[in-house]
Amino acid sequence: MRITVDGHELEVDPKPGQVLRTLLREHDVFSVKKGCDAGDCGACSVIVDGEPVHSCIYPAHRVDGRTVTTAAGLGTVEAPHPVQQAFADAAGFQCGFCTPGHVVTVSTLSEEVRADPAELERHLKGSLCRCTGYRSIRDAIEGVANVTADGGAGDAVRPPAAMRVVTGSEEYTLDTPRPATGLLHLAVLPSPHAHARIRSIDASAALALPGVVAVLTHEDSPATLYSTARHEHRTDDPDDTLVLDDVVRFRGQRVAAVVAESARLATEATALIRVDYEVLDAVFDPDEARTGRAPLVHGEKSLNNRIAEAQRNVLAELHGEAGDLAAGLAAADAVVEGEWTTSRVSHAALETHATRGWLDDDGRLVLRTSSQVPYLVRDEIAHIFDLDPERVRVFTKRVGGGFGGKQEIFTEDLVTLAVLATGRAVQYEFSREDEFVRASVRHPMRVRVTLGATADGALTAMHIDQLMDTGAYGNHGIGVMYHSVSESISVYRCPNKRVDAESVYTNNPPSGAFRGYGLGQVIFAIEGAMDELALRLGIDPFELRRRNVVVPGDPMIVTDPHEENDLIYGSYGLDQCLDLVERSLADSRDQHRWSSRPGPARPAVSARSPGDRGSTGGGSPSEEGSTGEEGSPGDGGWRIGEGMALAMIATLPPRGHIATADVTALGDDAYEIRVGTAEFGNGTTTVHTQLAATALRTTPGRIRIVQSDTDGARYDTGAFASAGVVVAGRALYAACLDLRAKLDALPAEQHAGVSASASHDGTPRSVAFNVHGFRVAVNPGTGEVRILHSVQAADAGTVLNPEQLRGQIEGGSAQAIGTALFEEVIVENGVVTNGTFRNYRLPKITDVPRTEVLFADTHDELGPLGAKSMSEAPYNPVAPALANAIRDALGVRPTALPMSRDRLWRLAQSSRLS
Amino acid sequence: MDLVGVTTIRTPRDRAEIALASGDRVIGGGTWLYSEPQSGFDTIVDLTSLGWPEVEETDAALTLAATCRLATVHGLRSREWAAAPLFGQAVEALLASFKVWNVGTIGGNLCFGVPASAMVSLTTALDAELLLWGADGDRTVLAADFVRGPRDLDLAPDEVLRSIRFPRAALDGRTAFRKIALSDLGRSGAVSIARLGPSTGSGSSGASSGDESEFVLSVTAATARPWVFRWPGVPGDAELTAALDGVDDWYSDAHGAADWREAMTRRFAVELRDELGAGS
Repeated sequence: MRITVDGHELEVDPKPGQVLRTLLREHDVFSVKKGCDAGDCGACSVIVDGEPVHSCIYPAHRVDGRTVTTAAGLGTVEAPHPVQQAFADAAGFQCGFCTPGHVVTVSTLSEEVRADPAELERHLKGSLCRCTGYRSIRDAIEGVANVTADGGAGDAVRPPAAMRVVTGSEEYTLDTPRPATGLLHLAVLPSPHAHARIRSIDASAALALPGVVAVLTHEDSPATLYSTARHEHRTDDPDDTLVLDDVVRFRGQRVAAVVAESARLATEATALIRVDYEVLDAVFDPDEARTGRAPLVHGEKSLNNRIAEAQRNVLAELHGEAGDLAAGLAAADAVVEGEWTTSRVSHAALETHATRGWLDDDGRLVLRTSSQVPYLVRDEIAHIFDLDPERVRVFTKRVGGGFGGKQEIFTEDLVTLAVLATGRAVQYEFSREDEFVRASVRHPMRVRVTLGATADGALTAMHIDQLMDTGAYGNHGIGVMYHSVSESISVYRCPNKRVDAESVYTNNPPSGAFRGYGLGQVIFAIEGAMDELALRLGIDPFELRRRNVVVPGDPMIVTDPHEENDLIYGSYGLDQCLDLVERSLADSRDQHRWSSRPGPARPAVSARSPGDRGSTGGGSPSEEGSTGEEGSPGDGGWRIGEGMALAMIATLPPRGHIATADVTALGDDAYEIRVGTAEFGNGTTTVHTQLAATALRTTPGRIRIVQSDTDGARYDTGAFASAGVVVAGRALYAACLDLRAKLDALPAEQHAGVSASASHDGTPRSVAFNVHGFRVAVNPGTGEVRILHSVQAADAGTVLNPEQLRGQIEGGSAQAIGTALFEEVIVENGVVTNGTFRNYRLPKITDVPRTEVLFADTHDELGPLGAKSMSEAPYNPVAPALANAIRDALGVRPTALPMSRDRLWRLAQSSRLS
Repeated sequence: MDLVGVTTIRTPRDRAEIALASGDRVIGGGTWLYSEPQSGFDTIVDLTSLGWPEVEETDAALTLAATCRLATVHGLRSREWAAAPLFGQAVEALLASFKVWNVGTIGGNLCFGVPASAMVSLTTALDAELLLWGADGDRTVLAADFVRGPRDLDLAPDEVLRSIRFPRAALDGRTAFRKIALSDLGRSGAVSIARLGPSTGSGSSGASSGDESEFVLSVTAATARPWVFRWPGVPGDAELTAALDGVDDWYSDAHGAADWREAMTRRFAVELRDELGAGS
């Protein structure tokens, strides 16, 4: 049959059961993305005969004679559609993977719909963005311009890829034609058991299927143990994983991999593999797992694998005390205790994990992958498969979101095995369900906090008892544990501190690196306890923080006062952040009437109507009366509350983060820079061009970037721990200054070919701060929360690109609001029961309020031009600030995430009963 | 997503060509079937090829083809009937975006048959009657009886849903609507609809056809199957409470715990009664 796609006639032959998206991508129409494959996210949106549809659920057999328009058909880089230009001018994207679908969708909306906020939100509920927090998307739709095409450090410059992103022509991992020699596809057979030993695998029926090239099992796997987690030092993580193991430790773990001529065939063939399992006892509760009486997840391993106590399922533990906790508690006038829990969260990067691998003409292994850490992937793949790293090339194109989830090897290892086994090009693409089942989630934690303080608010004692479920494998399970109890605790001066932390194996799906790297979970608990302490002492929560936070000159102590580390106050803006948020909350109160009830002053009822979006139709904060007595919420009345929380974070990971940068003059005031950092929406590439332009005294448009390719730049530890600006950026800036000096000594005609290099090793490190404040209305009768005011102040040092920095803070806030109110990967007896966006409740445009973003005025002595990192940090103070505001509204404290409506309703009921 | 186990697509041109065999799955728009991995069938029968008129009207009833697209159902909200806004509210209660409405169908949503299927809410509240085509002839079933539980339908393997008939009396009733989900536009945790107006003669409220003040309460999304309660006039608190006390299948899943969904439904029942009762 024939269809017209973006003005081109295509002869197509859809397979039975095929959807339009795969048909289009089979024909190299890459402006159509796969985000969810289920009609939830809209990344695949196209227009069919004038009507927008989700092409991933549009049966391909219906397309005969139809006209299909994708983002690429709306406009081009040279001649963009007005909506595309608006998204570029507003910087209405970060990773950009959802952008072609957003552009297509918005292009079909009438002026009336665009002008009506409620109608607009309804029309965009099938267009999900994980990066931006939607403010910049709203700006694009409203025609607000936020960026300019050119500028130096400090300017709101738009990303170099902007026009390609909005027109669907920017390449992501799998946006490339099949090689002429063909392409094999890989599909895995998942374990149906949470814990089992594989007695035997019979793959004969699968292998007999025409088109099946290989079935790989544990018998084909290298014997080298590794961790999927990647760090500068491979010894930071336990060696507990094999490419394919004869023991499976969580439900969904890969048992075998089929390599076949098509993805369809590979998937079909997995059903023909017969596996004989010896089912083993499993353990799902981390507290039970560490008793010594539970089934052992890695019982055959030991300290040699860097597992602290394999016979107790304990991967890592920290027990330490500074001062004398008991004495500190005895000296306290007030003691608060509590237990806080956090849930599993999916990164939900819109681009799933995916790798295409092949052997190049010299027989070198090449991996094109969706990774934050191409150099670390190269080194570990070489280690696992006993290859010379020189014989491995790993590169990324633009990566469709990461959030820590791509600081792992989840697809590259199997693809390598398959390429080496078949000698052919092989592709492995995760489904959205795979992301929930087989990638990683944020570590769920149970945190007990005890705080003691004097009557005037000085902390005397602090005890943190942290238990985290690292799941079946220990990827990031050591680092996250240590980090979780670091800056969260050291931000407070307190003479007596004790930490008990354990990272425990279970037969649950593995947890891994997630934005904030453990800090957020413990900050949720500590900041909740600090809020409780403020209430107990009758001290304003801002004031209580001011009395206890570290200031320059104070040691930053967890449990060892004599610990030697490389953390310094390169700058300090926490005081400003506290002031900024406090003032913003106060200034916004004139939008709300004031309560006359006693106690800390707070607004009672909104004057505007935050309940406009009210789903119940009955009752909104504006129409209901004032709140009842503390602790006795009325059934219908919305209650208003305020809350705040703070977070500190080191600007870099400890123990080294290394980047090299090379810059070469091309002549005619043009330059090529080579850096290792991957771009996944973090905006590093934009900042790198700005830094280079500033140092070279030119404009970003004169800079050509070669990045994230192990053949292209010498080395970069990777784009994680927010290192892209402060490590690679600093190296790049130094290299560019050096080149400028060389060029200034030469006549212009001798410039071409002159180059300079620099590197940076990521030490010493500075600290950055974030403070978040909320005013909310809560309906105790339904559990609904309306965010009336959201403000975050950030101490990011020098602001290199105000629009991007604002975007990072908004995006981090939005992701944290999702964590706080909506998101939870539900695991029952090791089984993920809600592995789709629709059942996981990824925040939509309607769920995310505008967050006011304020910057402290500081200049860091370490970062490039005084800048600090700000990618993970904005996420961390949000959930506790929101919980504290809800506590203020309801009079009872929520301590479990997510604070979903059913939970908050139940909490309000229990408080009324008690 | 691609349904990898499917080997045949059938696009019947008339009723005789539908001829369902075991291993056949019927689609309207197909937007749900293609949204999850499937197994257990190899043939898809696409009813949209039959070209059924989406909307047919007589003085006695509004009849929608099973293949009437959700976008068309949504468009009925601006019609002159007293109950017209409900068509818009019910479609908007779907998690599905307007881009799905361009493809998805009312019949598909009914035959998906989960608690959150908003077309179940719409059709039960309006006493709609479903026409089923079977190999051996036709039969009708009330919407309230069609969905027996999550993914459990009163639909034989050889039957297809042909059309949905809304009696005129139901369209002339005033309606009120409530929905709540764990997020504002998320998949419904509770959907309750009330209708006050001429009796359709369905059920046994004591009201008879032509009676002008039957009160109908449809409870969906919060329960495993739809519940419809009716009274000959506006019920009191005790009557509402007693009726809901009889519900024995409050539902729990990722979209809300059963106790919350029950509480929301009870809250909505009072609000709906007050809203419609105030004008009578």
